[in-house]
Amino acid sequence: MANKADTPSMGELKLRMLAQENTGSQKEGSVQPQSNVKSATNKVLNIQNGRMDIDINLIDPNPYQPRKEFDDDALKALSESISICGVIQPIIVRVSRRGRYELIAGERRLRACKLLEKNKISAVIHEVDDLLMSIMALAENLDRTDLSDFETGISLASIQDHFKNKTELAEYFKRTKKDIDRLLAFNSFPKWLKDELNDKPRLISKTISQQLKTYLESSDYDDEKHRVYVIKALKSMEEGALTQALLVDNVKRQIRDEANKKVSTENNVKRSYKYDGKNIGSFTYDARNLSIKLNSSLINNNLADEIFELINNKLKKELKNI
Amino acid sequence: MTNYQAPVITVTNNKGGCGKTTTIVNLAAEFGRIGCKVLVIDLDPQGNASTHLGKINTNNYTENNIVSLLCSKETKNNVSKINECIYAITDGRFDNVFFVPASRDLDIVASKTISIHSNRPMEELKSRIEPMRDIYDVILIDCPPSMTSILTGNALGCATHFITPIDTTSDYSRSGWIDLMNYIIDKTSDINPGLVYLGSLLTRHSELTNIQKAIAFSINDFENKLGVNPNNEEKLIPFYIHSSTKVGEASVSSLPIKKHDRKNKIAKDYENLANFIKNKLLIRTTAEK
Ligand SMILES: Nc1ncnc2c1ncn2[C@@H]1O[C@H](COP(=O)(O)OP(=O)(O)O)[C@@H](O)[C@H]1O
Ligand SMILES: [Mg+2]
Repeated sequence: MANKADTPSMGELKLRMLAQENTGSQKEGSVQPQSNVKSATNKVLNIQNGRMDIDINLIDPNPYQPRKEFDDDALKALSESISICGVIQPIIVRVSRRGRYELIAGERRLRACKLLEKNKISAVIHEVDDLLMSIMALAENLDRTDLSDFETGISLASIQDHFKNKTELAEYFKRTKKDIDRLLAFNSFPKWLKDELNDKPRLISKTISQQLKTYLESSDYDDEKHRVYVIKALKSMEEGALTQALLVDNVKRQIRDEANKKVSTENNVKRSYKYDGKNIGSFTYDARNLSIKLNSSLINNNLADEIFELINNKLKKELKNI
Repeated sequence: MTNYQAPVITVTNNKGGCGKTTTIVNLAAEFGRIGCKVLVIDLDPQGNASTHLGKINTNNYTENNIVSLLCSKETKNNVSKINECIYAITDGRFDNVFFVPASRDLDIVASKTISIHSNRPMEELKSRIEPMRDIYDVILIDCPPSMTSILTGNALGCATHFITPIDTTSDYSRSGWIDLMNYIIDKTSDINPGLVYLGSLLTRHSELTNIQKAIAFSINDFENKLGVNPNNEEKLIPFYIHSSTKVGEASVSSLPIKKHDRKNKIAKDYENLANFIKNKLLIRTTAEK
């Protein structure tokens, strides 16, 4: 059996905390009572942890929660029942800046009340910190299909540190570990790519996120060059001219072509065959082709065969060595 | 055997309605059922635990109650005087459970008497509990919903362990709980430095609700940061208490949940909790099963 540490007693904890205070090494988020903040807000707003009617216009959406679509009919039905019965279960909010509120739960009820043009809604105010808020929102998002892989991956990464490891993260959100790896890959993209995806989050899905990440990290990293070609490829994808499965290949090819083009402009070979002072043919070699053009009036079938064989044999021999 | 000292477990949280009393009553029932001799101390002036265990209203315990235990000098370290304040349950509802009933005037009387006459105001209960630790197998203390009360102070002053129930359907606030933990660490490090946190007990919990699941996670996250979870266990108390309307029904009929509804999942939850604590703290069983 593994040696287990005993749970420290309160006396030991206090000693540790004192030691931390003295060395000034108290970590962010460790034993920090938030009571000052809390009592301050409570004083300003004069609230308890209870139910009260608050002004609908003061309620902002949950910052961690992307917009949802609502079924109009269901909303109407709800607002009708509210207008008849009056009472509804209070919504849940937290206090945000200067007397405004952020919605935690009850978006449908809030919308129904807006539909009825009510000014106030009954709410319970809870103190919820950002970590809790983001985990809650993310868990909800992961259950929905309409959130892009990119957005999911970025939010997952933002709370990843609070989990012991990826297995725990995967278990919490009921995903496979592979899925989590693919989603987290988005967060390793260079900033310019994230900026690009912020505008068009659906352009790249988790099926290629890891491949793209690995490619970007492993290729001799020339940010500028990749940026240009990846963005070009993303444009083609947007226009439907390229599918994401071919994205990495496309970028690789663009970069190879570019390299070859450089070679060709620098080392273009153009020579001519002469006989008796006259041009009878040309020899060119550039990034794309090597071509030999000969005036066929000077060539008989045998010679043509021999030239073909000569090149053919030479190529066979050379390519075998490669 | 002779050196056995019963663990003293305080269930506390300044939030009302989070399941302290429900936990005390059903934990006592389960400990008793598996053969532990249990003593329950009801430190909440509202006396819900006393009513549940004794089946009569706290107003009826006019004498020989928690006030006489705490405020009389005679009970100090005196087993027979202490015993006068302890009631047995003889009608078969709770096996092997004994209790000291609360009293409505507990708050006022105790606070006044103790703060005026005691030079160790947080250790009054301790001098009444210590002599009982080799008589009982486990001692449980129910607290009022107040963090700063002298009663809560006494409960923590004499405990060996404590549990904080958290109702995940309504305790959204981590900071409330963080304040509580900081307060306990701060207050008990002098008077009772050996006190150990057993864990938080999630009540009315459901892993199917995102908000509740997130609350559970964030509590665990903070326990790790606080250092009270040295082995990084997933949860210090590795299960939670589900939600059930039968809890209220059982308390109305003054029964343990298991006797009210044998197959209820909460009955199983508290059975698990009792067994877990019994194994962890090596609680002995000297009573009949
Ligand atoms: N697991 C549970 N499921 C449903 N209701 C519960 C549960 N635990 C407690 N309750 C109910 O919640 C209320 C408060 O519980 P109680 O144990 O008295 O809390 P506290 O002692 O912390 O004030 C009671 O009405 C009780 O019946
Ligand atoms: Mg209670």
